Amino acid sequence: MLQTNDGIERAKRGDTRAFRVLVEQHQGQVRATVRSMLGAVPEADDVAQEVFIRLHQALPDFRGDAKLSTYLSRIAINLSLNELKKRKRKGRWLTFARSDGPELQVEDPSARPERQDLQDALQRAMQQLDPEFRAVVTLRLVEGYSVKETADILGLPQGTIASRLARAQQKLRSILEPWL
Amino acid sequence: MKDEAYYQGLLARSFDEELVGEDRADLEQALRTSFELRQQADQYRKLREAFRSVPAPESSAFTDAVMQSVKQAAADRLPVRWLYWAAAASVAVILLAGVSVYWSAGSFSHDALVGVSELAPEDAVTLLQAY
Repeated sequence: MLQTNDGIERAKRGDTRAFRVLVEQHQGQVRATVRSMLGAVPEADDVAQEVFIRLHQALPDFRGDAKLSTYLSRIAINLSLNELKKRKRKGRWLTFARSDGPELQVEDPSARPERQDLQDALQRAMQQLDPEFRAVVTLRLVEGYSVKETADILGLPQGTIASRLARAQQKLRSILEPWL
Repeated sequence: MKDEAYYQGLLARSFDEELVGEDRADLEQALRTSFELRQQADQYRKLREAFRSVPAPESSAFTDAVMQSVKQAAADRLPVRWLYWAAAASVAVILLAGVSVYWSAGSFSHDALVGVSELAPEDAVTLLQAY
């Protein structure tokens, strides 16, 4: 397998196979990020594809100051936030939370849906967070970036990241209490 | 007075090494004495584990679709690139023509541009005599 740095250099020189390897290496990360932001909707993979198209266009100027994974996460988060704004403008409600399935705000613990998988519920619960909070949870908990890295990617102070993460986790815990 | 919300805030931040010093000591003390807080800490742990256990979606179909899109995007950009070159070439030709006119006629007057000198009255007489 190609080393990423070597792969980037070869892809920069127009090596299609090297670019394909980069896509294979990073698609899991990018698709997980976009799905976490948008939900498991058909547009999620379109946005993930757009991330790689942007990478391909930007490759000649990519200097490698940032790790490729960090660079891709930044594009994925920005494109996802744009998509969410677009949805809001169009008044569309295509989020996963609206699709058929059990309501997440379960007040009565005895109403816990036994067949509901926690991961599935988690994805639905994410859609109930504001996009700014979702971005922090995605980078910190899904992708595993540190608070500093998350702050760098989103261009926010570390204190803001920590407080958003704490509030988001509190909300997720309250939504998902029957599953936890 | 440190209330429940304070400890819940600490719990939510008690992640990796984010909580240090007095905050960490406060939380550890509270966890030793509160069953409810320990239960919440366990819920946070499960929440984070659930996030980490979500499998990353991967498929060769996605890679194929990306490569196809990239190829298409590059093809779409090609005519635009040619357009830039054509525009640059046109500007170069106009500039060269201008320089050439100025070089030969010494000005950018109408006559110099169309290549005909203005006829003087005596030129008209000369022309009439010729016919």
